[in-house]
Amino acid sequence: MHDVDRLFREYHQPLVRYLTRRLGDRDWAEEVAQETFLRAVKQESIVSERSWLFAVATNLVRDEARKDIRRRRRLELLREQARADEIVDPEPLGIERAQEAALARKALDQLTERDREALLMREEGLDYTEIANALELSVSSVGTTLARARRRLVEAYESLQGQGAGSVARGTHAAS
Amino acid sequence: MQHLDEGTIHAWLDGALPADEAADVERHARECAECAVLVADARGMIAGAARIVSALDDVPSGVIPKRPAPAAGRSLWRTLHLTPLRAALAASLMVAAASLTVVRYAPRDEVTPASRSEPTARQAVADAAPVAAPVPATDMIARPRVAPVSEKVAEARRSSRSDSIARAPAAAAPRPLESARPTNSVAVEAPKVTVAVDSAAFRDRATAQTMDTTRSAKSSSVAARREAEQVAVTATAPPSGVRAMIAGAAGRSAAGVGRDVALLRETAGTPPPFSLVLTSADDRPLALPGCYQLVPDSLRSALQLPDRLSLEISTESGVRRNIVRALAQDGRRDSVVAGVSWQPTPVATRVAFTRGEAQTRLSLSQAAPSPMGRGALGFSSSPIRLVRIDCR
Repeated sequence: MHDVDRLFREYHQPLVRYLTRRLGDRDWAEEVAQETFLRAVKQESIVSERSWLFAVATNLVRDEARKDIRRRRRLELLREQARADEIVDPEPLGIERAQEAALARKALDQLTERDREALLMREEGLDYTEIANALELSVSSVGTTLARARRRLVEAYESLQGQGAGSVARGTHAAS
Repeated sequence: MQHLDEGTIHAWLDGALPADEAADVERHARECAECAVLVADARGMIAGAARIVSALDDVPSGVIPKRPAPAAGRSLWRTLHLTPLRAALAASLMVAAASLTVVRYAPRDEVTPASRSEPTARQAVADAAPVAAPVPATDMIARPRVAPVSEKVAEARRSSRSDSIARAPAAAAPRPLESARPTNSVAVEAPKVTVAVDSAAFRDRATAQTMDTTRSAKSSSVAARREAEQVAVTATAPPSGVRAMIAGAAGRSAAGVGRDVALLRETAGTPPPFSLVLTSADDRPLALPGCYQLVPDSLRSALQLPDRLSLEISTESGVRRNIVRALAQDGRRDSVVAGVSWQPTPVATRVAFTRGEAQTRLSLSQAAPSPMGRGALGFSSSPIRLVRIDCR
């Protein structure tokens, strides 16, 4: 049995942040994190806590994505339709920041699942061994995975940004 | 030694290589121009990817509470920005003002004998108030009667504010992801703070612009932690303050080349652009808002930062901005350093300073006692120290 309070204190925040970045939805991330900690409670012993928690959370995301992909798409459609009729409180984000967040999300989605997860785990401070354990990679391949992930992310972001600037320029030209 | 592959370079820059291998890589990167360019490029990739990932934290929650659609028009409560607490407060003030007015202006001859013999509320108020000498009517006009009321308003506002803060900490607090971290984990146990400096060229202007994406969202959480952190620091650190050693982490100490050079040339004649990332190596929040003194050295001058500086959260004009302010010799806060801002990054323990495109990375470590390293900005590379100081 683990010290659940300590586990939660130490890892809840980075885990939720990782999941939020991974899923793009804070509430969903909180749910998955809760499920992860519930599983940790049931676990008799955990050798490497951080990599174990991140691995379980990652697997939960994958499982849920596999199981519910159709249902979730339908729910997304319904939710979008419902939102159109709702009066909502917009998050206090500036337009530029919201655009950057959207670009970052699109760029991240262009990575392979493994690259994306490795990169997000690294950004949460996991070392190469922990990333290797969580993703069942060899430690020696983590550097290559991260290098590829970072390059593709930056290139995808720049590409999307270029497209955005192009469309703005076209819009300005058309308006004039 | 063969040329470095990209994975090895990233592993080296991430500090994931064994010491002997890292030394080999560092030596090769210094001697091989081709690989040095790859290293500089990898630094840019690491910095750029980190910024892009940090922008992901600005996602709204998927569940947005639905508000009931307005029926006929806006309710009076919303129109007047009223809440039950505000309404109650306003009513109390009106009653208090009316009572005072009645007490002060009521003719003496209206007081009945019975009321003279028994202490009444009106008398109690009158007795408690300082006895005013008779004044002419003109003086009464010149000395507004609303003065006591305004004091009550101020007092009521103060008490109302403190009440609301005390009663609803969870609701009032910002909801960044970091909020899950308990306050007691903020305590700075080690009096020494180690700062590691590393530099990397920013890949281009586009990625540099993403630096600001999380500033506002995270600044509130930093502000919320600030007081508790300062208390903790005061309790555990010596009077001289928390020492911060800026030093390059092992494996990150090679001077930037290639793209760094290009950036420096582009900015020749102007202050070198920079950004700094302060990071706690042990994932604990740092009390970053506060005052610091940069110990003079070559890198400090290259950063174009004042010797003494204060990291602050400004709410001037209702806009939250994380500013850097210069400090006078006596610790007094002076002018704002133009064009420089600091920002907490998505990782709660990081704060980034931004000016221009190039990047210098500072890693704050509270765990290690005092590891020395090398900081780098372009070709220059030197250790730099940062000392936490008192200011006013």
